[in-house]
Amino acid sequence: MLLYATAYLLTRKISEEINQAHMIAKQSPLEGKHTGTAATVAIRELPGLHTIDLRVAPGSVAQLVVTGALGIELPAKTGQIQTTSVPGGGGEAHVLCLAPDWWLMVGLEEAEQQLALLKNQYHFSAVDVSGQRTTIELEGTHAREVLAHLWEQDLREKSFPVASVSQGLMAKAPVVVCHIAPFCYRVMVRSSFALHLWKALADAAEEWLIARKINAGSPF
Amino acid sequence: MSGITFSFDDKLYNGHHGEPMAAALLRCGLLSITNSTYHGRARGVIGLGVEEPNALVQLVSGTKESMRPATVIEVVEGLAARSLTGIGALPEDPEEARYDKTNRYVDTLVIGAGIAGLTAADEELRAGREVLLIDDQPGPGGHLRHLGLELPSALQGMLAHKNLTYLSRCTAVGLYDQNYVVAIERRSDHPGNAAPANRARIRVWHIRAERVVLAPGAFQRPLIFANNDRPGIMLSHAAATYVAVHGVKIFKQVVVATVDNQGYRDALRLHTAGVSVQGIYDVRSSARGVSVDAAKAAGIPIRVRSTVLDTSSNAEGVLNSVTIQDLETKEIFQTAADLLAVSGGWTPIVDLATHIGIKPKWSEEHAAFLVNHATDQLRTAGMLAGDFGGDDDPAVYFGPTLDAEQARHAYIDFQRDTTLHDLRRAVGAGLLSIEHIKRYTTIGTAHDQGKTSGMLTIGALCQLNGKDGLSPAEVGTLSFRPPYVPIPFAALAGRERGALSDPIRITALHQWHVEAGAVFEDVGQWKRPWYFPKAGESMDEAVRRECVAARQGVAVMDASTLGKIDIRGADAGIFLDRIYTNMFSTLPEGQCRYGLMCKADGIVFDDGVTTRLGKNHFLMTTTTGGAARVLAWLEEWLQTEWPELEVYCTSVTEHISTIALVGPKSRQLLHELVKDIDLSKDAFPFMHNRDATIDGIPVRIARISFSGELAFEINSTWGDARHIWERLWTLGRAYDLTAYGTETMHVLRAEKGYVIIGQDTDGTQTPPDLNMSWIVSKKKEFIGKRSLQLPYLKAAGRQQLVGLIQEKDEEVIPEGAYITVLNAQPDQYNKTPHTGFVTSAYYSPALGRSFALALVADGLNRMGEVVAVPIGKKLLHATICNSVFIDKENIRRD
Repeated sequence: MLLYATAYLLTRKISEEINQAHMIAKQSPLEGKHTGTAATVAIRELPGLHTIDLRVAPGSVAQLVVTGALGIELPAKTGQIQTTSVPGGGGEAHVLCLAPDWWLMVGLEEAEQQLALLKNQYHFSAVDVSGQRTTIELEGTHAREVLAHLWEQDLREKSFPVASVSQGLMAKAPVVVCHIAPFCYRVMVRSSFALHLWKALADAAEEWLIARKINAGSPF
Repeated sequence: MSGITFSFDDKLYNGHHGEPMAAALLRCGLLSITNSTYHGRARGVIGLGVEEPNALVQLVSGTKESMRPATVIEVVEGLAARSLTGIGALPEDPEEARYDKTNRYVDTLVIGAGIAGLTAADEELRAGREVLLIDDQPGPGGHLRHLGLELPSALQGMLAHKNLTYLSRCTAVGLYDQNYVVAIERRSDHPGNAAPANRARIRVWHIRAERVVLAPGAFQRPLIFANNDRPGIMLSHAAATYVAVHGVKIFKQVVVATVDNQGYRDALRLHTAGVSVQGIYDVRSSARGVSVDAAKAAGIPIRVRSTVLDTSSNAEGVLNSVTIQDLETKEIFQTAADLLAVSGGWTPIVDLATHIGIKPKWSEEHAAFLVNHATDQLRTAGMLAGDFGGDDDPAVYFGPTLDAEQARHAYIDFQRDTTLHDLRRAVGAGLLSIEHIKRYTTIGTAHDQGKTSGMLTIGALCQLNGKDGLSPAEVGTLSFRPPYVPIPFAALAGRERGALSDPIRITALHQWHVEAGAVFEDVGQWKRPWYFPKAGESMDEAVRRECVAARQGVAVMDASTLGKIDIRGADAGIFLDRIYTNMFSTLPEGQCRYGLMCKADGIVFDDGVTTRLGKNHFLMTTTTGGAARVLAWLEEWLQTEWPELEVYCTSVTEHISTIALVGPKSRQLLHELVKDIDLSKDAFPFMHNRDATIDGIPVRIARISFSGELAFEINSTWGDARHIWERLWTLGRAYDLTAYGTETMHVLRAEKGYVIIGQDTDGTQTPPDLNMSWIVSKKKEFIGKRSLQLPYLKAAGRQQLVGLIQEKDEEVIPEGAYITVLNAQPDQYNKTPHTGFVTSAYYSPALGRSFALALVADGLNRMGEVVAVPIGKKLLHATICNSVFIDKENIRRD
């Protein structure tokens, strides 16, 4: 572990230097767009979430070494999200299990460097894909109804509780949908499709943005 | 109920807000609503709901829906409709109303909010399940609504249960496997002007339920007799409901013809409402039950073993008398009536059950086909399951015996104007199966899909077949298909129209392109700049300017749409050796190589440059359109054929943005921006890759050229691309930096003979066909290698990629133009055989003339041959040449 720790400190220092030099703000695909309110539904981009695409064989030595180096657990079941606090007080991170050997690690900014020294010794792949997708968060009492217009999968609590993740097409765009907290969902969408999906979500929300509760049956 | 005014056929009518248009028209005395489609006969309302075969109208206010029965339209202030003779017309204006769809998962879906459906919903709620209850009526109660009765208070309370969602005006239109139900909810017509503009007019519900209860109820059916289609002849239940519930007071004298006790109940309701009941004519030899007793007690005359044989009308075609026949004595007599109420028995709505292949069973006792189905997933309830309630004892009877002349006016399908005569003709022609007869006669093919005519056809066929006739069980039912009721196309399209019909994919630099006035080209779902015209410039002028800039100065292009796949693992090199026709395991770190991949049939599939970033790390680029299928191809081989290979592939298409900086001055310009690496040709050779920074931003720069010019590809993350592009643009002013699009890219690459898979190939070319044998390794195995050894892929006469130079520098040859041998003569079919076709053709500013790439039979062995290209009436001459037009020595790229 000492070896890892030294490597970690070293890479961390390097990354800080890079970060200092790197003063130019990154552009996000939706430039932080937001609409609505959480009283009904708020839809907002969460720009720039740091994301690592991790592939490693489940139960392998490589997985043990990788999780050891990261200091986190990987959710074992496809469709699960593990929320962890970032070691060193870096806030909250989410690890999404997309397939038995496939995870997305959101918010673990140091992960790539932590794994850098392992990459030629063990069979895994950890790729920075922060620019591959952006995240649209839907929060509010009608968040689920808005999603249901565009999402064919089951969103009921018993099927898709908090800490669930699923992949599919939303408005024909490939997405990863996370149930992050009660009445709060995140849709991770490929950056090139982000504006299209934003328009589709904002459109789907139109009837739900009105503050008064609309009875799905007969409001009149 | 508030009073409103609406118009029908340009005349104003008064009605009550929300009542059926049919009720309002009847109350105002309008019996004859339209003429029939083919026979032009006067027709009026006969039913209560979606089963109505006659009273079709076209809406001309609001959404001008082309065809709906007046029985289901709720009138609102200002509504305007016109009668329709069967053939509707779509409005010319685009539909502006909102339509949407939604998905709903639920424990139990109950279809039908009559007593049976409400009771089932109650049971399901008591079992702790979440329930979605849908019904096509404006309110719950089903039959109770037709009787004008309130819902029992227990069921009323249930409707407020927190686990129940009740959707009125929501019609289930299809039942599919695994309890998948599609339903349409009409949401904004009934409030009229009170509906908010953003409220979807129709919402399509895609419902997946663990349990489904089918409680759709039943339709009353008519009888087959001569002239059974006149206005004034109605289903008895409909007639009684219009009179008793909707206050229709236009009828004085009613004759009731019945096969069951329903006729007695309806006669009593009409009697109670003040209509004089001339008599009930019952085909049965005796009638028993409380309904019969009540009718008798009211003093209504009853005659058993008799029925209606014929009717007559006034000059307008409206009923004025009824001919009754005694079925024992065959005695006939006429009686005056302005209403003939017919009760031919009930037909439970089997449609949804048959959608998933359930066969309804004939019940002699009910004189109906029933579906008695009860599994954990799907059960039927109410009339569909045979629970008719009441004291019914129906006869299996469809109409009296008719002669040939009577049969010509005895209608079975009112909307299609098909008669008993037509049915006899079909049977006479030898048709036996009801499915064949349906297609031969068109019965059941109108908007109502045989809701009333289906059962009549079955009944008539029973009588027509053989001496003793058949039972409906032997004839069998028609098969019903979704949708149960017509659905406007706008509802199916939903929000997926216009800008939302298909995703538009854009790059990080898209907004810059828009602001720069780019004209865009669709490449798959991507929007790519096609060219960047300056004010007043034509496309040709813009492309020429962009080409000259790239060849003589410096130009820049957004190449971010290229597919990019990060490939890692100890076996990555071996894996790529198998995927590409050429070798990658030997590629040194930090270098790039162009690769070609084939499918197993040896046909070229995709191409691109792959860079080795580390010992076990490659970055593959694919064609813009091929990104997804190449990744799927790689995963397929890794997961199914070579799971032992230690390789992981990750798509990074959007993570990495790519800017191509092209031209003799590109190095000089880039040097102003990139200080931390040596850009000279010796330190940074062609097809090499370097990590660098721009303003502190980490970038990867590769010496890759798709034009033959000195060029650099600058790769950054999505979020940094715009900054780098802007910086290049600012610094580039001094160099007259020119942005270029896909058209210029095409010209530049074609001048250099670089193929575009999919443009210069038609799915039949091998690497040797593209004059690229040099890229096919002989030292290793790869996908497609064995196919390339097959004789037919090596045979003479295959189409091969060559260049074409026109004899005279005429216009650019249209792409796709056929090529013939010189002086080719038409064959015996007067067709001139072709010897190839043009795949790409452009004007080249560098050559000062137009040129083309072409696939020509044996083309590589025909260098220098002059061929003909017929363009309309013109015949161009062109010489076959090598496909590389400029810089054959590869000098310019350094």
